[in-house]
Amino acid sequence: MHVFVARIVEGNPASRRLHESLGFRTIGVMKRVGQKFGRLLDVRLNGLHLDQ
Amino acid sequence: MWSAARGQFTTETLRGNVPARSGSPRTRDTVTSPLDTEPAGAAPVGVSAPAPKLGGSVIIRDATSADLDGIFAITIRKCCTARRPSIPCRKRRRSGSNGLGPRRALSGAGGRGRWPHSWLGPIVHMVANGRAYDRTGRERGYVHEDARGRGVGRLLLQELIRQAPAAWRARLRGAHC
Repeated sequence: MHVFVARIVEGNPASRRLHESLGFRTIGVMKRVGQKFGRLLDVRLNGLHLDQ
Repeated sequence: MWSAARGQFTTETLRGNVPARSGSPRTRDTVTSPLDTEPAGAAPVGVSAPAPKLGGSVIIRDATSADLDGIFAITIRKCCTARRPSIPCRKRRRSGSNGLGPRRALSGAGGRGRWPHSWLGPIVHMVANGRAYDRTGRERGYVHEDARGRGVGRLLLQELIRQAPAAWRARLRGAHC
């Protein structure tokens, strides 16, 4: 295992800050693929490489 | 679980069906916890007992079947994913093939029979959606809204990052035997 990928739905800044504080960095955004509360939301991909 | 006798907050984690790492204790492992920010006297919604002051170390152990009620009590909440509509976790459990496996619980004010504060799926659940993902694991976590802001999510994520590589190696060995 060499990489973690976290998927964080938009509108969750606390989760985003948590992942960034642990070394995760944004590697992409999937537009309007998440569905919550009847809305389509972006999903941010955050990566953490263990070998870097 | 809150230990009044020791004045210490301990968390319980079920490692699911991940084999124990060689050379490490099977039942208990202690790590540092950031859980020390709970204001005294603040009672979580839905929990009758006063919320404990969180602090001290975290004890991680393999859960037993006796823990399952407490572990699954949290799952009446809905889980949301990017790929499908919200599905109540309890419904997933009933389906028998929920793709999540057993949860591990961090029991704060609750303990058995009460709502745990958070859960994780089995560390490194294998994804079997084809060759492109046959070496990919998946993990999901949840922190009860009453327990947010105390560092529980950070603890879960740190533990996941710490344990996942070894758990993953064990899974790969099992898958290819």
